[in-house]
Amino acid sequence: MTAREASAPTGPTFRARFGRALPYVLLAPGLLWLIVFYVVPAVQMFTYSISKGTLETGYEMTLTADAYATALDRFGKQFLNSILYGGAATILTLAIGFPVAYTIAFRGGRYKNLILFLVIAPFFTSFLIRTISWKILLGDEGPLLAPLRHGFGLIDANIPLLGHAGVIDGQFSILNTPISQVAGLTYNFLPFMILPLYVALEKIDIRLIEAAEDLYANRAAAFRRVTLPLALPGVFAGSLLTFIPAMGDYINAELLGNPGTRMIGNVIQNRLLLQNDYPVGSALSFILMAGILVAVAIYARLLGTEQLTG
Amino acid sequence: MATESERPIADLTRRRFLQGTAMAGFATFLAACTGTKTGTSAAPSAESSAGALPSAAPSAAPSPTPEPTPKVATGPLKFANWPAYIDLGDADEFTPGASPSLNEFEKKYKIKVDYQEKIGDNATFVETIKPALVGGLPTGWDLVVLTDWMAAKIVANGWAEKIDQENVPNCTANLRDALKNSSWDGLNDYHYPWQSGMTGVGFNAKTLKANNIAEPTKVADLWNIPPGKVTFLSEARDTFGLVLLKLGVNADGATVTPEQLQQASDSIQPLVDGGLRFTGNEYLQDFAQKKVWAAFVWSGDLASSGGPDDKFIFPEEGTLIWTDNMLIPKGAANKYSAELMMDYVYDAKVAALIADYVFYVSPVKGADEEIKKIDPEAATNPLLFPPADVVAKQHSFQALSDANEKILNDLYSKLSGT
Amino acid sequence: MADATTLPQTGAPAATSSRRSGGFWQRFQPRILPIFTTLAIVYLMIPIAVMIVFSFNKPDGKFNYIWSQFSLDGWAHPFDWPGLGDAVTTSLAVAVLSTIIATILGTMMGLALTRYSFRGRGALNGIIFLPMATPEIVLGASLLTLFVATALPPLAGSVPTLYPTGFQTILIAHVMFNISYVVVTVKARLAGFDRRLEEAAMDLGANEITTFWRVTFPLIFPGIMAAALLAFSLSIDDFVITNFVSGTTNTFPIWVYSIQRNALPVQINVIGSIIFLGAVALVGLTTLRSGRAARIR
Repeated sequence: MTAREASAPTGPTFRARFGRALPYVLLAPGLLWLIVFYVVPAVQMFTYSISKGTLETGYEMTLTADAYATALDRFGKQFLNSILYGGAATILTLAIGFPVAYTIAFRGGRYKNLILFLVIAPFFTSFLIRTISWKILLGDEGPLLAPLRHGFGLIDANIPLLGHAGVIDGQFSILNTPISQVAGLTYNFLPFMILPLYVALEKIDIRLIEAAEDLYANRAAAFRRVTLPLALPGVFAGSLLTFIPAMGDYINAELLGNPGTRMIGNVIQNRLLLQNDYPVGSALSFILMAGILVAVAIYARLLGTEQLTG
Repeated sequence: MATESERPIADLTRRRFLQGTAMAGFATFLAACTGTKTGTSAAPSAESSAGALPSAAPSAAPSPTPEPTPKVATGPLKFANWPAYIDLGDADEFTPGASPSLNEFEKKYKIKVDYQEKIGDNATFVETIKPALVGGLPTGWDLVVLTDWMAAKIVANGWAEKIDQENVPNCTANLRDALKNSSWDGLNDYHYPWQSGMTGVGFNAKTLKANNIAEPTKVADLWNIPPGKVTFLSEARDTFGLVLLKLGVNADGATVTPEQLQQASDSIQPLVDGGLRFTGNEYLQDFAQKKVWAAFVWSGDLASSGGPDDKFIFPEEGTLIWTDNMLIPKGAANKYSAELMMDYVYDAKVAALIADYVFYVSPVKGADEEIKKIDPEAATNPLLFPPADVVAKQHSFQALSDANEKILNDLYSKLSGT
Repeated sequence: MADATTLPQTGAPAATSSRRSGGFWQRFQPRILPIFTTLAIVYLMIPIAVMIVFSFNKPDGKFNYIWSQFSLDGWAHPFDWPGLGDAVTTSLAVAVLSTIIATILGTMMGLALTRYSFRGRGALNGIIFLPMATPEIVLGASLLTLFVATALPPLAGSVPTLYPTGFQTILIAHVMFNISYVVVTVKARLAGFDRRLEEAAMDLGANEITTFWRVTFPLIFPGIMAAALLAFSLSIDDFVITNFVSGTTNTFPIWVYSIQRNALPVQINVIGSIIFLGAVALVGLTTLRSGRAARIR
């Protein structure tokens, strides 16, 4: 797709005026920003991962892979948690997000922008406020669990103490379990899935789908053979925007999980902030990034959207 | 120092830059060679971070002749403290969250105070100022409050400004004797305590009763509560200290052995498997939501910020005592103002105002009498005035050897899943 | 809440339909998607509803966790905590500026990447992609080290000094992490863009600049808007990176984070509600105007 566009003829005057410089002119400011404020610090972090020492005593670059060995050896479980919970959240957001994006794109009508805005609206409040809200809702004596615990008709969180007449016992919790953690991840990354899906779906010509429905005389087949392939770039982008930050997330695990559900982001945070162990912390980061890149490459191949990542 | 190592700069610069070695450490190294901006002396911080050269050991050599602080009160005084760690006025009279004692200070010295509740835990806060400290740059803060072990590290690295004792007559006169001669800054060259507190056990009486569990009287009782309803502290020293007491081990930071730390960890592990969590100050939220039934907590918090059913007890095995200390970070722009603040809060009247609000133990002599004057009820409050039997069982688990600290951090990190 | 909104919709066709179940299914089927979407939106709105409801609470203690009684106190004194007003101002300023800068830079990059072939595309895509794959905490820690290094020799003097950290460094960091998100979103819109539309415009005599503004830009505008919305929301919500690069400056999330350990004042909910409602109003206005523009076109 891209190759065709790239070689597509552009107007001669256009060429003449800007020549081959145009793409570079367009790229330069953003690229410069990323090089100075991302690449340079990242290279520096990489040197930490093959060094020994602490910030106070200075680092001595030893070119050893010790930190990488430690990272892989000791934190396998947390890597697994990241993949598991990040993956679960991605699948859930896709399952919820696709129908929503589809509806906005094709049925939204004049409410399109409004719905789109509502999708992203949670992010105009602080994640802390959202998490606090969820803690209120899912809390042991919150409006969801209190009735189940104490029998219906009693939802006043102030009076949790009339025994356990309900269907769950005194100990049952949702908060600080894998369920609440995946739920938190799903909630927080849902808009990251819906937006790119919408962007991809919105530009599909509805007549194409109508024609396909006539052709296959079967909505499911039309969807599978026309809509879905055209939406793939959006599925791809959305999954990446969800899976990647979900893998590296540590806030959800910290606020909604427990020590058994910690993910690799928590370890990185702990290494950098508490243990003052930059070598292992940055080694973990680079393993995570490498893992993500490999996953993305495989995923791109499976979906046939290599051109999107270049 | 500057002259003798001037020559290699050019070579070192380029090579190190190409190697991409830790930029801050590198820049610091150069700062060490060329002299730092703050320049009161060759900053000890610089010496220690020149440890990119392997042999250089961190040294805490205090500057022999501190430059006298110019006695000009400048501002705004940037003061970083822990949340809810100062008196707050009534909503009618003051803006919510505004402190009468800080207002008074501003009026008295005509200095604006930018007081921020920015310190959630020692390590995270220090990590945000550490690159500046290592590089010998001002941190932006004039006064920070850190717990003993972290304060000791700051002082040992030479990251604190030396206090001009002439400017703090109240401090020198009113510091409680028990808090003098600390192992890490015996002459109070760099710090004065802000508040002391104890680590013990807190619980919600109502929830426990509803679930037919007896109220805990000792640390060991927490093992009889469903672990999913218990939290320990993410300050590893507090958690391990109390568990050591439960195991019958003397929780003294100086004498603890690696084996004992391991035993404590083994004792906590089953709880973690059952759903135990580790929290900082935010256990207050869990209490507010009845999410936690019992927890390791700091002494003043539940009294000042908890609900009516939230109780604090001194466990039978003993409590841990610690002190949070005021320090002036190296390169502070308003050092004299910071010293004025230190001196001001060591006025017994002001100290009484603060302690009576935060429910911690004031380090100031004479504050007791003032507290009793303004709040007769507080006179019997064991949080403010720990009774003799409690004091007898106080342990300090702050001063760990570097090796033990490493083991402690490692054990804690395994327990907490990170 | 979910029941209240959806029941009438599901119930209505069944009641009015006199046909058998097959007929009901036929009538019901087209409504599955709207119902599902409504439910999803409700799900997304629940925490906001809680936030707004609790902004009218008068909590018993310091924590605004449990409903006590209705009160307008919070709304009467929304900024009544020291530092809260400044924090909100900083947050809004950073969000607006970083969104504008990142959207412009990111859209330019998106255009260049989808339309031109040139050397180093692969590497470039990598550079754009990697910031999203880097854990926030690593971005924060490494940026802080960089900012500090600009004030130290040998960089000091030769480059603009970015230390002490504060507003400018927060802005730089936010633009940095926003650019990638903008590029990805805009690229998704540009992929499969029908170039023949532009060619047609040029055949009709429009020059490149006119073509861009009259044809290309309107067509990719939804993508740019989506990217800008995403950037704004990422920026106004960021805590982890900001915490490292903010120095003594506070943004709203940082202020909330530091105070929420020991108190949860109603004002947090009030400010949260104001930001939310303000954004709703703004988008509502834009929607109205663009709707009118669309009709005119």
